[in-house]
Amino acid sequence: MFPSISPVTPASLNLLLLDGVRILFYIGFIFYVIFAFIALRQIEVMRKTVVTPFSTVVFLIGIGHLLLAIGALIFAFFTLM
Amino acid sequence: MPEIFDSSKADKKPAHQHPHPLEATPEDLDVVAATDGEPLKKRLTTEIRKTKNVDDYSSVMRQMKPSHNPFAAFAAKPFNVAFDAQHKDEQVLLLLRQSLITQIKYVVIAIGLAFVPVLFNSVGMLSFLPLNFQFIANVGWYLMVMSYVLEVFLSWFYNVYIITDERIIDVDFHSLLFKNVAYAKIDNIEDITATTSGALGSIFDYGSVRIQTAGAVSEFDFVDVPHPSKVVSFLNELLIEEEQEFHDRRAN
Repeated sequence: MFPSISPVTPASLNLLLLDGVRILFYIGFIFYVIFAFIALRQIEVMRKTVVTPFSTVVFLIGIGHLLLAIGALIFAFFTLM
Repeated sequence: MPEIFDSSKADKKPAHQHPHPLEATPEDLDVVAATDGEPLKKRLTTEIRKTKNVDDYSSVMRQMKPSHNPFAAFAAKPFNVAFDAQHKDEQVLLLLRQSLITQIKYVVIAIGLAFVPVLFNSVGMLSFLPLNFQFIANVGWYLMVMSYVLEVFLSWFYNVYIITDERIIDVDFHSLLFKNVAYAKIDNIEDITATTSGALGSIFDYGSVRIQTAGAVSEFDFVDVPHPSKVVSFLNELLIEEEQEFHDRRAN
């Protein structure tokens, strides 16, 4: 007797594709968090190189950007689950 | 025994206590120059010259008010601006960025990118995805647009050209990952060229200033800075001032 193989239906293929898209979204958002972290580090280097009265605000913008990226990753994780 | 070896005279204070050069007035300097029977000379030392205000020797700076605007592309005598390798007595006299007019193209691009999801949704390009996937795709897109805006802003804000009373400094940051800072002393400047090109450059008075130096970095290019002719005039005044200092030092 041969083992029974479940037939590939359009519905199962659709689910498989959605899983792939979901993983791609997760990877994209994780990369974005890494990018936001690198941007924050670079802002730190920039504000040490050139000191201006606005440097603190720029640093806060960088922190806000990183927090937003982390928030978006968490939001995407729960929305696509 | 020569007086210099006579320790009994070591504690004796001089008849006139010379003030610190940085605190001295020109009258004090005359007294310094007149000691030991030398003739009275009206001469400024280098230390005193450092305390001189830039307005004393620069007609360009005299016409400008100190800039308190952190976003100014042409900030004369900028308030609270410094850089990491700044010397103790070094003053930042002029801070330059690319003219704001040159950044309009990035604003237009950002606005265009912000409307891309609207366009996509209107033709139903993402309609094969469930609604929650479409929503997250839009969130991701707007995050990328935001990162683009942030990168453009940081590149504009921190890519600066600084002119101090001693040096010119070119600070370059490319694509958030590459940093290059070049320094050259004012007295190493050999040739300065200002170029204004294009209709926008002529209308809004911005262009490039190319400075050739005798230092390790042979050329500085201030790209698309406002009022290039004023920058050149100011650099020429600084050069004349440095030359004057050099002659004073030799005479001393």
